[in-house]
Amino acid sequence: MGYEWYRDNTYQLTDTGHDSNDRMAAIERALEYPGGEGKIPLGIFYQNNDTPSYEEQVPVLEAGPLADQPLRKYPIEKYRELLDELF
Amino acid sequence: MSTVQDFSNDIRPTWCPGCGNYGIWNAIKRALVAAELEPRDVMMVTGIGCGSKMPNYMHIPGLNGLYGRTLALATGYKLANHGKKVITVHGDGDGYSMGGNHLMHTVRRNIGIVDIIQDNHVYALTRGQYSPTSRSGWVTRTSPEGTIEKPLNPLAMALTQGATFVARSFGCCRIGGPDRQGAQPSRLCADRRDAGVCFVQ
Repeated sequence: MGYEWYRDNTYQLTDTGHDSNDRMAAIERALEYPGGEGKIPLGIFYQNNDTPSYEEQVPVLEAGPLADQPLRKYPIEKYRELLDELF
Repeated sequence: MSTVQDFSNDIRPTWCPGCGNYGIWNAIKRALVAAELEPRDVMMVTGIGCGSKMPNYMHIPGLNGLYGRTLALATGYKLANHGKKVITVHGDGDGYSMGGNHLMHTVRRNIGIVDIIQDNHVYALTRGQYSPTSRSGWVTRTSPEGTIEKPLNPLAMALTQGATFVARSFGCCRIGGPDRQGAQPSRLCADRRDAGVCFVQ
C-alpha cells in the first residue's frame, strides 16, 4: 500500500470536530482502526495535561536530576552501617 | 536558537528510498527546533530495527538498546536525568510484541517520554514476517495462508491504560498540506508541558 492508498483511506480528526480532551470519544475513534470499516483517523486523539508525571511524584527527584546530585550524600560510615545490616 | 542542521550529521541512512522513516526523522528534527531544544537537551532511546538506527543519523545523544526494551531503558534514563527530553523511537515489533509489556506500564506510570512507534504492520528488517498490528488475512513469509490473528489496537490500549497524550500520524504524509504535516510533531514537543507520556503511532 503506497501513499495514494493512505491519502484515500485516512482522515484528520481536526476535520470532524473531535474533542481531544474527551477520553471516551478518543476511545471510540481509536476503535475505528483496526476493527472498523471506515477510514483511518489521524491526529491527536487525546491529551490531558493535568495528570502529574511519574518523575514529578518521586520525592528524591525534587532536589533536581539524580545525575546532578552528589554521589555521596552521607558520610561513608553511614553506608557501612547499611552494608553491615545486610551481611 | 537551534536549527534543523544542528540535529543533523553527515551519515546517510540505510533506509530504502521512500521509507516512512525519512518523514518521521525529519518531523522529529523539526519538532525539536520548534520546542527550542538544543542537541544536548535531548536523549533518544531506540530498539532494534531499521528505524531504530535513527540515533546514528542524528547529532544528539542516543542509545540503541535491546530489542523490545526501549521503554525500559528510557524509563531508567528519565528517572536518572529527568531534565532531558527523552524520545523513544521503535517499531511495532519492538513496541507491541516484545515490548508490549513495557508500553502498557510506561503509559500507566505516565513517565515523561515521547514514545514514537514506527508502525508499518510488518517486520521489515527481517524481511517480512507478520507483526502484532498486521491485518487479518495478511500473506507474509510466516503466514503463507494469511494471518489468523486479529491485529492489536495500540491506541485503544494506551487510552484505556491511562495515557495522557495519544496521537497517530502518517510518516511520509503530505495529507492536508505542509502546515498540517509540521503541526502535529511540533505539538508533541512544544505545546505540551514536559510531563507524562506522549504515545504516537
